[in-house]
Amino acid sequence: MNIPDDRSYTASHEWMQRSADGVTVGISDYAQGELTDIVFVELPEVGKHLNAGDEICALESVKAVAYVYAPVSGVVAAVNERLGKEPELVNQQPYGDGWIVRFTPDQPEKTVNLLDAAAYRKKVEAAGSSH
Amino acid sequence: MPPRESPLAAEHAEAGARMTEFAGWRLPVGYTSVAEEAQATRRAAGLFDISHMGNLHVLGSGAAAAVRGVLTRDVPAAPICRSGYALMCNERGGIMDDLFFLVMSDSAVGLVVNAVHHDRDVDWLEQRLAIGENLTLEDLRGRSFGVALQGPRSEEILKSTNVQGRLPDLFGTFACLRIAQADVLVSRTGYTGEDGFEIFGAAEEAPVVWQTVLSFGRERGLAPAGLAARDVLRQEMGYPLAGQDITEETTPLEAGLRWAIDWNGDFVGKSALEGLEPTRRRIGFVMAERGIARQGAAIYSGDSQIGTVTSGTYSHNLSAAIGQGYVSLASGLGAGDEVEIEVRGKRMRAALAKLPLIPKKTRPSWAQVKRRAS
Repeated sequence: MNIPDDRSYTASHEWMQRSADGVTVGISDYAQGELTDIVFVELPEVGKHLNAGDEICALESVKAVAYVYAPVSGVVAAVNERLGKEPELVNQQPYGDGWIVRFTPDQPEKTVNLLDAAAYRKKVEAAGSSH
Repeated sequence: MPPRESPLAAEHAEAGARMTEFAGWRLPVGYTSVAEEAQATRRAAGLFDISHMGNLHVLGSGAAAAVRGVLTRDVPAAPICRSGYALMCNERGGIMDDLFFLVMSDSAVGLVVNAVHHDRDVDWLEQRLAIGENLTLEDLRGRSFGVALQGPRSEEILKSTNVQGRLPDLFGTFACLRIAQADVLVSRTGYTGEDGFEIFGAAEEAPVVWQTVLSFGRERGLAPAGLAARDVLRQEMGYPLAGQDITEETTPLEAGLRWAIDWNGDFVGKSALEGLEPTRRRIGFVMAERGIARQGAAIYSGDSQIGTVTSGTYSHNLSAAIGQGYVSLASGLGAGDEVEIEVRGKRMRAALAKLPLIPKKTRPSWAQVKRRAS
C-alpha cells in the first residue's frame, strides 16, 4: 500500500500537501484502486471558495461515482486540466500527476480532521484491503 | 459470515489482484486496469475466475425431462453434449435467474447459475423438481471451479496447452477434456460476446488449470481479468445481469429474451407469459455527455420519465459511457432516439441504442448450423 509520509490524509481518502503554492489535493492510492479506472473528472471552477468538508468534484469510474471533499477551507487556485483528457492519471500517479486541485487556504484556515500517513495506513488496513 | 474463498485465491494474491466481495464470495475485481483487461479480451483473450457461479447437478432417471419443466428452453435429449442459455421463471413469468444448462445424459443435467441467486435456486429446484423421489440435486459449491477463457485467440491458446481431446467447435456444445492432467468439462460458451470457453472441474485442480492456461496464453496476449472487466464486457454486449437487469419483476418478453423461450412443451411461467403484453422493453443507450448513468437513474423524453436505467458503466472499447434500461413502449422511442438521463442530479443527453453495442463474435450455435443445413 503506497501511503507517502510527506502529506496528510482524510478519513474520506483525500490527501493534501502544503507548499509555497498553497495546498494541493488528490485522492489516495487506496481510493483509486477501490474505484477502478477513473473515466471522467468534473473539475471545479478556479476562484470558487470552498469550506473544509465541501464537495470539490465528482470522479466517475467504471465501477462507481465518488466525490472528492475539500480537506481545507480556501479558494480553488488551480485545477489539473490534464485530467480532462487523461483521467487515468488519477489511477496511475495518484500522488503526482494525478493531483486534482490546489487551494489558496483561508487566513485563518479550517481543516477537516487530518490523519498522518501512519494513522491513515491503519485505517486502510482495518478496511481489509488485500494490498 | 466471512466470504467464501475461490479455489484460485492464492493465484489472485500472487498476481496482485484487488479483491472485492460479490454475492458472498471474495473475488478479484481487477489485476491491472479495467481498460487493459477489457481490451485484451476483445483483442486476444482474457482469463476469468468464475468459481463463484453455482454449479448444480440434477441426477436421476428423467432428469433432463424434469429440468425442462422449470426452464424456458428445450433441454435436448442426450447424447449430444449441448449447453444452452435458459431462463428460470416464476408462475407469473418473472425471471428468477438466467443460467446455462449442460446436458450430460438423459439422467444428468448440469446447471450453472448466478451466485447471487444460488440459495434461492436450490430451494426452488428442490420444490419444483420433486427432488427426493427419483431425482437428486447435487450442489458442487466449494468443490468445483470455473474459469472462462474468452477472446478471439481462445482456441489457439487452449490448443497450445496440449489439451487432450477434441475441442467443442460450436457455441453451446461441450466436451470432457484433459488440461495438464486435470479432467475438465469445457463448454464453448461465455458472457463476453467473444468466442471462448468455460472450463469446469474439481476445486483442487483449479490452480494447475489456471496456471497452465495463463502460462501458455501470456505470449499470445492473454491477460487475467476481473469482475469489473467482466461487467464492462457483458454490458457492451447488452447481456443482462440477473438480479439487476432481469429480476422477478421483469419478464423475458420485456427483457428482449423472447429468443430464449421455446414455446413447445410446458414450463413454469409459460401460461402467464402467453397472456402477457409487455408495456416496456429493455434497450441500450450511449451517453452523449461526460457522465455515467447507473442503476436506478431516470430516463426522460422531454418532461416525462419514460424509463429507468438498470446498468451503466464506461466502455474503453467504445470510448463512451454506456448502459441498459427499460423504456416504456408507449413512449414510441427506440434505437437512435435522443433521451435525457439523470446523472448526479443533472439531466444529460444520451441516445437509445440497439443491443449489442459491439458485434457478437461467438461461434455459430448448433441451432444455427442446423437451420443453415435445412
